[in-house]
Amino acid sequence: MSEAKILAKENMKPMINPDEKAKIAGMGDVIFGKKDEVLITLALGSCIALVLYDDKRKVAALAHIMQPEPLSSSDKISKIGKYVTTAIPYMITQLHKMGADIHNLKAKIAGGASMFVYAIGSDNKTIGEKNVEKAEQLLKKYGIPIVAKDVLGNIGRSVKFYVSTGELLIKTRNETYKI
Amino acid sequence: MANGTKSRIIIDGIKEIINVAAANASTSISELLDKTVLISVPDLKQVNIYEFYASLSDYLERDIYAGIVKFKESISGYLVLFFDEESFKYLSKTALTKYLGENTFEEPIALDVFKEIVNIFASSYTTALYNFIGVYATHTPPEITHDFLGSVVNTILSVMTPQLYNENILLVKVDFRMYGNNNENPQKFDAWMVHFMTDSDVNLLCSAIESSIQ
Repeated sequence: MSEAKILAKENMKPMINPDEKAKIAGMGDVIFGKKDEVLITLALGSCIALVLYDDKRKVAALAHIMQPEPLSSSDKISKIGKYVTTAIPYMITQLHKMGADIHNLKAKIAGGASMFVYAIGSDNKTIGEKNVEKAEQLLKKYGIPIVAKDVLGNIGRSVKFYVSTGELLIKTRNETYKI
Repeated sequence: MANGTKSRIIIDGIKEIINVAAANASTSISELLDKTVLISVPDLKQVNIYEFYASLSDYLERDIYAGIVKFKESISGYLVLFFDEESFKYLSKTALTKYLGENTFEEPIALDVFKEIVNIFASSYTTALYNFIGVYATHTPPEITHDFLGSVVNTILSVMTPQLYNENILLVKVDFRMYGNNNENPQKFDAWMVHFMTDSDVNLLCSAIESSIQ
């Protein structure tokens, strides 16, 4: 898998453009799009935005994931996108129903930042790191390649995925770029 | 005592503790900077974490400075002091003017001033908790971040979520305004303090308040 590749830098622009067919994911949400739609989630901290897409059939899903997995079987799962372990199987199933070829799915990941040290757990890893690690493990298990990622560090990120081109636009406080 | 009345007393009790803590902290900051600092009545509400995040949708990408401490010992939530960029610079200039005679913005010095202010707030808060209801708490040293408002809130909610049985948090918010000496030259000063309380924090505070009023 190649590391994140910056394709272009742009001037700072609002992520939500009224001329675009946009869907916006809140925390723990999974959203889906086709063709000319764009999928957005704003101001990620330790959470990750995971995008799965089929670039031939032009269908995609974006999840705003908060945690790697439930801590116990009794944990409340009020949002399917809250955990890596619940979001990915759901995204694959729904994308298949939307016509995606599951053998042609690709992934892009952004987020997982460490905004402050108190987000470090007893295992000396941040929630962001654990989210990214679990997503990588599970995607490997499903045979879905991660074609680009922009993860960890200590910066907040907003993301916008263009279903038509497969580009993921990332906006931080200081810059905007695509992977 | 009827449950509704008891709930009302507990809410008022928490508000009063916050009020005293914020007032003490404001006095300290006022002395530190030679400015008049006013605070709002604390706004306290229980909110679902997803609805809370959604309610911030217009502000998620707002550029802010946040000073964060994590409570330790009896309680475990987070106290966060948010400043918008303009207020942060005003704070820095005020401190530099007073202590060095220079009306310029120096971010490293501003960050130190901000850390001290967060420290004063957190210490005033834990002192008020102990003095009023006997709840002993300490806090970590403040950590400062300059980023999107939403990214700070997002991280706090993610860290807290395993401790939230019903995915609700109790939020306490206090707004601040700062004025020049003798209330001249009112300065727009957009800062607010939020205490993110876990379920166990709320239960502990409620029990302590109930005990103190029986």
